[in-house]
Amino acid sequence: VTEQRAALFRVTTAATAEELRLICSGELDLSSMSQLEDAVSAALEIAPRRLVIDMEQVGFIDSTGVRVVWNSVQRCAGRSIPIAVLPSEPVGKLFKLLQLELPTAKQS
Amino acid sequence: LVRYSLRTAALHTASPVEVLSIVNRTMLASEYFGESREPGYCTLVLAYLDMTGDDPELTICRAGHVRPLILHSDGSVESSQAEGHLLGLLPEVSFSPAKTTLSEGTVVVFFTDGLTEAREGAARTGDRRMLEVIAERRTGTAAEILDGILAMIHALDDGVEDDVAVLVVGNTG
Repeated sequence: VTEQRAALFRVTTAATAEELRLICSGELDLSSMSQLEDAVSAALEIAPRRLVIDMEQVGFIDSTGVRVVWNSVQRCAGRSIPIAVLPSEPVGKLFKLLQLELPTAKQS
Repeated sequence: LVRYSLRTAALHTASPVEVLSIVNRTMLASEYFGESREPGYCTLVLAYLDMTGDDPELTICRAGHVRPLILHSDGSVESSQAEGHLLGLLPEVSFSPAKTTLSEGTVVVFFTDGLTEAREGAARTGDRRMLEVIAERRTGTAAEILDGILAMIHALDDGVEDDVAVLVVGNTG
């Protein structure tokens, strides 16, 4: 079951001179969080001018997913890499409920 | 850590805002106490029931948690307007509690996201199902509403993946 669920989540990477974009789709939860974690680690190795976590196609996020996204924001802050998180409606709704402010494209 | 910090703090101050702030500081200081520093967070709802007036008054303080539902005796349903940050991640947190008069017939439903995130097949329908159960029984007693929610949990079966906690409080007069 875990493998099936993890298969529901995908991260693809798109790089330009300006930014590195992690395009996520599917469900971000305990079974898939390591995929995003690994993708962020790989992105930070490259030290892009800006990191964008595009979550506009993420249909569901749970508390472990929130933790990975928030850790990613902190990791970027620690390396002075600007980061933007683009939430889908369900992702934005959960962060709003938690009152956790995501860095948006405008801020970074 | 959270449970015992909460209980200790609640013994020392009558302010729910202060209690939640203390729990948040304790979680952030867990490194100091030799606990794992894997950044963990939690959400919770703290409610105080004041029975000294004519009608009991419930003060709800929400720390990032799913909003409790308030079912009034006239059949209207509202989400608690209490606002507040989750605990354990942010050094600066604020909370804005909301008061509700628990007049006769009023029922308040507290629950966790294990319920609202439950799925039927591929779809996450827990949230919608929950509201349907509430709508069907909105003038029911606390026991009837709880029975409805339990029946929903049993019907969703494996669709409930996370642990679930439900607390239904009503004033039966």
